[in-house]
Amino acid sequence: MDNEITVTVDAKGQKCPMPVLLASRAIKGIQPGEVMLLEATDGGSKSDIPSWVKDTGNELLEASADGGVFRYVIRKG
Amino acid sequence: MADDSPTDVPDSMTIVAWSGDLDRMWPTLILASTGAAYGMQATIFFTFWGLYPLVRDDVRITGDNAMTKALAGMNRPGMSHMKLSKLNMGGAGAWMMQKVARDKKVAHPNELVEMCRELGVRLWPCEMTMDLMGLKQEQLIEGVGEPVGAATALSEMSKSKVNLFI
Repeated sequence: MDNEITVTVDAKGQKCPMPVLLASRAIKGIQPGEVMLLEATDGGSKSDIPSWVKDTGNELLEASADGGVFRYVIRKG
Repeated sequence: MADDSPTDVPDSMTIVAWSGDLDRMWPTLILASTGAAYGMQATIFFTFWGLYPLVRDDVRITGDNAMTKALAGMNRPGMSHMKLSKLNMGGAGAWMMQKVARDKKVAHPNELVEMCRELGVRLWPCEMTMDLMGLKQEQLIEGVGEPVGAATALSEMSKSKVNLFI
């Protein structure tokens, strides 16, 4: 499944709570149905991002890790 | 649409920020900004020492009489001048904590308060403390709301699902 990324958020190197804050700011700028890619290195994002995505009514399409970088593909609900 | 859709009305959270210590203000700002990112209406009610960090960094002395001026003289207001509640060691401890945080890319309180404003966290100064300590609205950082009283804070807390006193 190919999801066209509307916006990419680079939270690499930033610690809690910045990945969630940056994601929250960026998702306000896109339309429901559009997709955001969030990249982070903070280990806390592994629990924080899925929880934030669910509780704010969005959808986590994909979560992966590659060389210490966590990638989250999120569709705005 | 997702079937597990969230409630339409976001919950709200209120934090009473009573302390101006770095190690209390830091988590206060983290939780409030994260609450706002969660779609909650987040409010921080700043009272007693909690008001000092809201004073602009460039304001050296606050107060309207010898005693309140002395308080500010001995306990410099401003988000960049907070002390640690323990192991402050004349400011060395607070400096070290902030240095470690910077090295590890943990957002500084100044950055977090900026995020709070951007995400719509309400920053409410306590009217009575402002009066007690001789603080003026124009001495406070941008984005701080009008001073409110205990009843307003309590009214907000009664609507909030998350209430913290830090």
